[in-house]
Amino acid sequence: MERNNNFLSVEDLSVEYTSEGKIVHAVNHVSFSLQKGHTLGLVGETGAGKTSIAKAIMRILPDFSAKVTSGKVILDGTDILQISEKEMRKLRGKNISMIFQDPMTALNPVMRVVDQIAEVIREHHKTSAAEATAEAIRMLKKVGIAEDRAREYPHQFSGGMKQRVVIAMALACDPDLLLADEPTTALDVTIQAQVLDMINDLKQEYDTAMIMITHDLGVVAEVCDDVAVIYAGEVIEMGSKEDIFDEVAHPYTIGLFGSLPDLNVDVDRLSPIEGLPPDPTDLPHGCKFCPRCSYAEEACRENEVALTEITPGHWCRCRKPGKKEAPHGNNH
Amino acid sequence: MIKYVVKRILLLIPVVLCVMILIFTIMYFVPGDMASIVLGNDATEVAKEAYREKMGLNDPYFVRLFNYVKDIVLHFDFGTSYVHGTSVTADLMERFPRTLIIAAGTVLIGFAIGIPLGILAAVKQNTIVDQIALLISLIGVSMPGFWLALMLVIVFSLNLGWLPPSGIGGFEYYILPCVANAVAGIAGNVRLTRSCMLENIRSDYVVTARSKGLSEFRVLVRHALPNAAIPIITSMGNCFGVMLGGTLIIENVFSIPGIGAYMVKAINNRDYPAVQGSVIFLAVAFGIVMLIVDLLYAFVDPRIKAQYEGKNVG
Repeated sequence: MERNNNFLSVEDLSVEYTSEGKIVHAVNHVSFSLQKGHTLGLVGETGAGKTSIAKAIMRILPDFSAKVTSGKVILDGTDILQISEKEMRKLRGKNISMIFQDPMTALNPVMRVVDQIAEVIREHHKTSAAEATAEAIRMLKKVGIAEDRAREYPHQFSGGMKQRVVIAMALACDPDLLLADEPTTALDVTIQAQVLDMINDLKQEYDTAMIMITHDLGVVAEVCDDVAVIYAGEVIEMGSKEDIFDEVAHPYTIGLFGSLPDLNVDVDRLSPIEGLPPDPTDLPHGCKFCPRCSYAEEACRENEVALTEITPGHWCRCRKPGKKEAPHGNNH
Repeated sequence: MIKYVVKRILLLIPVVLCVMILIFTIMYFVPGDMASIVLGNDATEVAKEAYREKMGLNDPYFVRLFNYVKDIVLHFDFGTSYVHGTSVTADLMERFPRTLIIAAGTVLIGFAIGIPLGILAAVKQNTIVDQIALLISLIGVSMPGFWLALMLVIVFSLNLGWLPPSGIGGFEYYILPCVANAVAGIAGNVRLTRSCMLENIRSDYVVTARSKGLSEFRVLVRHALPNAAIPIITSMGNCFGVMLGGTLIIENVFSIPGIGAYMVKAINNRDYPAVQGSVIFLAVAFGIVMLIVDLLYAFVDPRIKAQYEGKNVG
């Protein structure tokens, strides 16, 4: 990944939560960058810190419990973690917007969907209410919702339709950066494909840079240009989609591919990665993955492992990258 | 929706009928001889008997019940006060507006102060602002209404001379009673609003609203508050309904002839028609308030509205 001319670069970002007196290290020194029009996939298990990264970029982490402890988020030359809340509000929804994970709860249940979209348009374009509503209806049509349903409430919509509304809302002001937080997880498979196609089309239409947060490698294959694999709040492998899919280097990423069922081979059981992600209040010393890694050695447990570039643009946080085969051979 | 309203109003009829029968029956069995109360214990038995006959007190239970209900339903006539000989209906209609003004004023003040304070406490949860808001509400709830009423009279009527100390008249006569009555309610409203807002303030759609770049004020007022409103409206309706029953202490302190004072006096005098009339009147008033509350739900929450409409179709 090139380090210059980046539209977005996140540098050394750390986020902590305080929960029952314990400090949860949700995001630990994460750095990545993104060019205009490109899509970066953030891949990882539940609880790996993907959503926290996105919320930190949006600055919508819950302020009573979460804190960004270090790092910069440079968008178009400006560190948006440093600007005032008032300036940030102008960016939110207009330059950066977010598609939320759960469409069932992301919409206000007592507000008409068209008003929820018109609201963001009015806020940033200072148009009249009628113009904003017309624009909101146009956005809804674009995501495949007919005008006569625009004045309904979220409870009258199916899950897929709600997700379309959330997408329309996020794209309403033509953002430069779109943070899509598992936009398809809550949907069934047939709708997933439709929604992904739609996001892809809209993204190309507007030349939007996108961060696609997902745990689904199929989604990554479909929409991403670059991939960063997140484990215990750290980037453990990062590179182009081809690097990650063809030259997979980190044992964890190998494990992720290994846990996908292979349709060509008849297996009785899936092969998951053994063990659980580490407790983020008490992260292991050294490599965070070593308690689950079958290749771990004493040195892995003792020293922090740095993210190193193994081939140009392909970074991996492992002392012995790419030395092993996936448990089920090459699944790709 | 209209069908739902009509259905609810029709449902009020059996409720009110039951209240009528119940209160009449209870009063029927209350010991005490009306004739002795009205004519005095030393009246002759003949005079008492003549009185009983005249007032229909010797009729069987069912006949009396039937006549009572018939008069109310057909003529809106709650009977004649035994003690004063005046029409109970007229008495109630004269007093009701005063009680209504006090109830409405009290609820309005209580919520106009309680809701913003509750929102503030929720937004600034666990900060000094939150503590102060809760402290204010604690002080409010700890002050007895009659004491506060007297203090207000001392300050605003006697010392400053701004407001009349008691009696009835124009708008200014109702300010002190409403304020004195509202203070205790504010405490509950602050706590209720605070907890309802806390529930909503962290929900996903509030985060969505923030992610649109809306100001915090808009996020709270347009998104969080309408979702927190249902319990607040419920409590508001309850408060209002209860206060329609009269605010006895306040009415006494400020010498306002309202429903509360009327009813208590009637109970003391064993003035059965007046007691029955007041209770039925209140039941109807309460029923109507609750109907309005239910309709407000539908107005605030489209899901509830859909339920109402769904029920009518099915």
